[in-house]
Amino acid sequence: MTELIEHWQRPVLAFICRSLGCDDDEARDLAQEVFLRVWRQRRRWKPTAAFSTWLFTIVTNLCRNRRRDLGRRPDLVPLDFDDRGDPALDLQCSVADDPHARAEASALAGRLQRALEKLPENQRSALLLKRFQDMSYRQIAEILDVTTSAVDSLLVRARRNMLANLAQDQQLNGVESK
Amino acid sequence: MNCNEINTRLGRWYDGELDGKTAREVGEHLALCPRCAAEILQWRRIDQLLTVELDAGDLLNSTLEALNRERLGGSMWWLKIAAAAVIATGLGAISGSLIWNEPAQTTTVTAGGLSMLERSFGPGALAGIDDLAGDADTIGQRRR
Repeated sequence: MTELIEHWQRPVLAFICRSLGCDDDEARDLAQEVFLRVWRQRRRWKPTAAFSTWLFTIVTNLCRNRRRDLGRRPDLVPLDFDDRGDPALDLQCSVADDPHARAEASALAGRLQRALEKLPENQRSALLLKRFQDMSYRQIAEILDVTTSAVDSLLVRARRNMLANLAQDQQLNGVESK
Repeated sequence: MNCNEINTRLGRWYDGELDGKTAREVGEHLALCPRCAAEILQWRRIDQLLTVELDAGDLLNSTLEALNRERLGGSMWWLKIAAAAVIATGLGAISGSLIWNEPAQTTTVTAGGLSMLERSFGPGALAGIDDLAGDADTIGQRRR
């Protein structure tokens, strides 16, 4: 187990942090629960399947359950992405020692997390599995129990919705600050 | 390929899921179409932004400890049953001996209880507890 945990702890933590938007302590608690489940359910793993697929099935299920328990899902309706032009996003942010830059980076991180949390569960999971594990569509399909065509659609919608959510968030903040 | 045709393949192109020929065609379109290229650029920025700084902290040791507690807890559960069975057998034997005044029976039944447990749980059941103690030592050393 030591080797397994050492190898997988960072990808698991990254997924949990982004999926639930929680702090490091909470993410570590959940990651611990993931590895305990791996140990408890170890006989269910079939060597014919990729271990990462099985592991992240456990991770995504745990995150889904935790989100449901906490009632954190703010919005079940996916946002449409109509604006194909420049959504006036300034996503670039250089974090230097400048306090102003740090404040901007912090604000951007908040916007990013809010945008991520607005995504429907499957879109968010597909996006994070792709981003943190660079999983194939086939693997993601297996974890989310959907087809590979559905994964294609989920990922495109996730990215477009992220951009739309970020733009919407920026507009809202702009209105509030005026 | 026009923008509409590209649109249905953009995700697979970005994620490296297209075959070589189609991927080249999409690439050629992107080189000439600023609008489609801009979308890809935005997706790349999203991916960059999703990068997360992590502190795994003591996750490894805390997980191993939790795992050991769970393993040990499981073994202790069997141990408790074993202990209860031994005590029950012993008490039964003692009360029997008090009634019938045959003290030798106590020893015989208790030993019989232990061998019964050996047969029920298998010879590895008790040895496993020693192994877990070894695991706990290992974690103790790691923490030190």
